Amino acid sequence: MDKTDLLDILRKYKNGKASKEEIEFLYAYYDLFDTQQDVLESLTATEVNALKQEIRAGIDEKLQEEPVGIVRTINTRYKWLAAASVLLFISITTFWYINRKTDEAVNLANTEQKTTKPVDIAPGSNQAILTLGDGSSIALDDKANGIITQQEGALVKKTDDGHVVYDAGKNAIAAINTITTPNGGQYRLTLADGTNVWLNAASSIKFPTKFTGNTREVEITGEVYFEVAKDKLRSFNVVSQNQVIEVLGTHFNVNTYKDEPAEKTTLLEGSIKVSRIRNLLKDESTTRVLKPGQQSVLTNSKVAFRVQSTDMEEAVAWKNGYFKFDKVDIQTIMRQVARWYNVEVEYRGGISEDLFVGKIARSENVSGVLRILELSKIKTSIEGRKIIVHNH
Amino acid sequence: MNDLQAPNPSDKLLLQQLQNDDTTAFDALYDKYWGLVYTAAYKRLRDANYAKDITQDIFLQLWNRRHELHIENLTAYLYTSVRNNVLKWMEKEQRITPISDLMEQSAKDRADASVLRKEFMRKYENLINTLTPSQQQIFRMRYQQELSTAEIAEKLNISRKTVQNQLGKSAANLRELLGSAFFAYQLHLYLS
Repeated sequence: MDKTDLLDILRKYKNGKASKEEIEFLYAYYDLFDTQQDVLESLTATEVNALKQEIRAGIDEKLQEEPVGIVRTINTRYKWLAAASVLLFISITTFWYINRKTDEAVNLANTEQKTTKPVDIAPGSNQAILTLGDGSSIALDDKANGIITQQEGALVKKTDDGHVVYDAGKNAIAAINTITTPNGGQYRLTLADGTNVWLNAASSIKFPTKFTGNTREVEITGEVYFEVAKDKLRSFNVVSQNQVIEVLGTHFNVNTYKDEPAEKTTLLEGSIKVSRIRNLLKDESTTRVLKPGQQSVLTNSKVAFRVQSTDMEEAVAWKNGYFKFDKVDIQTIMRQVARWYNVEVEYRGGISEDLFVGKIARSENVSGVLRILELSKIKTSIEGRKIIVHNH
Repeated sequence: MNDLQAPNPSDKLLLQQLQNDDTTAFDALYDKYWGLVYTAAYKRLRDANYAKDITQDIFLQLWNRRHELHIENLTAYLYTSVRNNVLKWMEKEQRITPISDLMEQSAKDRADASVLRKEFMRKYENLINTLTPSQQQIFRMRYQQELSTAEIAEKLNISRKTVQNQLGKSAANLRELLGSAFFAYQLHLYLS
């Protein structure tokens, strides 16, 4: 009856294969803990209340996210509407609009796309700035294909399909490079170990031109998708705002924009470990292992990750050239619009609490996205590089 | 010990309201029972984050499954939910509190502690009884009579290797897990 035996029993229990004696033993073991001290008795009334509120806030937050048809209004705490107020499904050629009051789907299929608008804003494009170890910068978008620069034996090449590849020779010395995309930019690069990296708008990655040592480590901001080259000996570590992600070789997306409410890491293939960074150190007690299809969510107010299953397609839609929204609020949509179209967003007359569902190509002009909002009665207008959202 | 109270009439009403999507009923149930759930999880896990996660999940389930759940006794339902979650967590994180630690907490013993321990010993004994008779015999000689494997081998006229094999996986490190307090306690039970 050592630890592994107890684990064996726990495993059998989980799989429904434990014997009656084993189950009863586990329950008796579980009951032994009842004599442990009551943790709430050691807290002050204020602390107990704060804890109660914190857990409750987490429940409310999750209820908003889970597809159970509940939408809580922003102003009235603890009051949910019985059904999702507005769901809107969009594809490039087809629109459905479900009216909040009638709950009736109106098929607006094959809506004519090309309306001529006096003012419009073009989508983002492949553009980024490369900052070399010595601090000098190169704009990557207007460089011809071929060798861009050479640093200490490491070649930086631009391929025919317009992405940047690092090629470290045997004698190359590692230098630290940073690639930054502006608002309205995106970029793809291949690191010296063969790892492929996609940067969304307003994002960056800091990496060595050659990986030396026992781990491969990069630092990111914004939103980045990775297809990490397999290397069983050297784990690949991604450090973002508040977390570190450790992998051996796999595909995953990290959304770590500072203006988003949470850092979200979504695993598509393989396995990764996420840990919170506290006081500049990895906090092992927070470590969670993700399986494909799972997403870890880290908010600033919480110490622990929340792990949930998620729509993988939505998480990497940006990389595949789409916006995809699954019951998100107007602000979530507009934050993405602001980054990709490099615009400011202003809300006039309050902010709609409706939720939206939809998918649209990122190659559309901004008017394409705005027209969809208008279909659900959200009025918008463009003033220069600012989009104004009017609430009715 | 689970203080399984009789079904509470006011809970029954709240649960009915919950089935009618009444969020104020949910608020009331949360206010009343969050502490019970959190405390039960924390005792086992000694980790505030996991206790918070489990509390959240249990109340989310209560809301999300309100139409399918037919709860007669809410306290019992909540205790069982915590137990399922905690056992799952222990298996997943492979973090287990040694039984000896639980047995040694006698200093600040509560009235129900000895009842729980007796119950645990009984279940433990039942589990041992599921071993084959020869495994059991060796097991008891080794851990209850505290004979060495060499002494057992001699008594049973078998090789020491056989004794070790028979003790096998299920029992080999019993001592480490259960600790001396466990045996002292067990001895006490046998003598009393």
